Amino acid sequence: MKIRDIVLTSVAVLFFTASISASTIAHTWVSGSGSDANACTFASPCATFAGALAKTSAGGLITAKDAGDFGTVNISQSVTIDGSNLGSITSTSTIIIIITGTGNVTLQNLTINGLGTATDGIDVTSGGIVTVDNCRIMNIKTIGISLAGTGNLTVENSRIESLSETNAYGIYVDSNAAENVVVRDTVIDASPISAINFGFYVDSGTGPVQASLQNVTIMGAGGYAVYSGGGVTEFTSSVFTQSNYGVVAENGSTISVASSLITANTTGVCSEASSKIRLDNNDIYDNTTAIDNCGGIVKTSGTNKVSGTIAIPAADISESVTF
Amino acid sequence: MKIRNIVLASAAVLFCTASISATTIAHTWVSGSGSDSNACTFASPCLTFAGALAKTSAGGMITAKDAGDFGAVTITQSVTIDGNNLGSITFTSVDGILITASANVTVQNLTINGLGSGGDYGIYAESGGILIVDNCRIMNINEGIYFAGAGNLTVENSRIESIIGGYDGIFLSANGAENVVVRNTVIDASPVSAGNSGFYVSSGTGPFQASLQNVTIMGAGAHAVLANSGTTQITGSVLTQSNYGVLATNGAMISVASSLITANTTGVCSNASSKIRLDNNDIYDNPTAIGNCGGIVKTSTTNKVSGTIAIPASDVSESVTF
Repeated sequence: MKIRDIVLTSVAVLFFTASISASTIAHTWVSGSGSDANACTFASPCATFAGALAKTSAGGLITAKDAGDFGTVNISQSVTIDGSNLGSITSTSTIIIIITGTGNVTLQNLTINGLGTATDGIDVTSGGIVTVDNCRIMNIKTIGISLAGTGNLTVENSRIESLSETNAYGIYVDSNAAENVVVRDTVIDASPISAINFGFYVDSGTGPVQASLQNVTIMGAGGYAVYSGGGVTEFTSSVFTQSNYGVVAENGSTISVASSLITANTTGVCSEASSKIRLDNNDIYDNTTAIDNCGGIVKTSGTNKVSGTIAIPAADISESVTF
Repeated sequence: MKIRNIVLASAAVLFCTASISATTIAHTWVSGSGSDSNACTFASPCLTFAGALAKTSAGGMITAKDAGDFGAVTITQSVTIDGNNLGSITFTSVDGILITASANVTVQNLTINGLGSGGDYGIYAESGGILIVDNCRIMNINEGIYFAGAGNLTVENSRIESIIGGYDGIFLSANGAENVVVRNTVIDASPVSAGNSGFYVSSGTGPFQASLQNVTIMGAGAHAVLANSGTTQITGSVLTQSNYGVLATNGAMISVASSLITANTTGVCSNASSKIRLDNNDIYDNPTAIGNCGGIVKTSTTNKVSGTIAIPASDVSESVTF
């Protein structure tokens, strides 16, 4: 190569590099055989979500073109990340996905594996609108999905399992802002019960927090399958099982449970002082204590079926049948 | 090549081989065009789950990079196996996945096919532990999933079908503290002539506990659900086209709520010293809706029943048969 050619090539490379870093495209791609030096187009995919995100327009889409382990990512813009049921992230980093903006972020069709070392799976630090659909989050030390900040979190068709550390949480809502949460068709497996873990946990913040959960199964919690320390939470068509406590309200919170199965917990339902739990049309079986007297209010509709000890005052129970 | 170069190259190969066998990595890969002499990295994938497992750290993950038949595997450590909706295991005369350690194992997005030729169990956890089976299709096997020993079994979004005669969809030994959750899963034990059971709880030492949600079990020539011990709760489910829908025996307790029990020879039966609770179910078109088998059947007033109720009238709260 002549010196003149080398100079021209170098200039071309410099120009090309500059143009990549300056421009973004709406739909970027990652591939297990990609390179972050690429433009992240379908024809020339990147290797990591982080690499692709830098080349994705705000509100754009990153799609896995084929299988790959696409690495941790810090998201500060609106974006959809689609693992295409092919992509995974394995990482021992502290937090695998951090969402720091207040944008609109969707994560779908992705396996997130903390290898027993990562502390958190998905941390939403500033609210926004965050949707997690068809994701499997596993081998996390402390928190599967954490929500902080004003916004909406939706989790559906997902599984959170293998929380490896005591005092871990499947889904943690910090409750220090206007936080709206919907969870459906999702399993939170907090087992083994010997770890004092929590399935769905709303902390005691300034709020207001509202959560609606449908067709959710939470099991294996050595702490509480469900705990709320603030706001209002409603469940329907769900299962709370094989935990120390099934449903616990504290600190002025209200939890409503309808058409659900609360079973095989040491204590099924417990409402602490100044808190309230509504029970309608549930099957509450085979808990050592079905409804404990924890000092708060438990309202029952008359349509629950209950076996086991009911420790709250008889005047508070509408049910005539224990079963 | 000069002799010196050959020697160096050989030394390099030896060193490379030694280093591969000595080290493991957290995330390994298999490919239909891989080789087990590879390092099982994404760039250099292995060919079989067994080959990859040997190079996977405890608690790590094996992922299918593309389609392939990755072979039966014996698991002795915590691991996640992800077929990525691309991978399958076909096998005969062995178990598809045999888990010998009390470990934390997840199997997801995988087809497991025993080819109906004496292939043993689809997944056999012989020492308990934590086993999660998500989005798997298990077929042409003896037992679909066999779980024995203290631990937790979770099965979701899965299908178990084509069970060889005389076996079960999911078999629980109940020997040790076994906690089981099954949801969004179909167990097809058909044909009825095969005499299979769908969900079978053995008479172990326990304590045994199972919660089933949104499960369909059909075609069982023996029992759609049979519990010989422990407590089992079923909600939002369908038990159909079987000899027995639900049978509790040997002191077991089964609760069925908001479910459909239909088109079985006998819908519900509780043998002596056992108990079944029925709440808000639809129990139709079984020749015998509730058989009198000597145990307790408690009904709320919200079941709808057609067909014969053979238990004493005083034990039935329902005023409507329809």
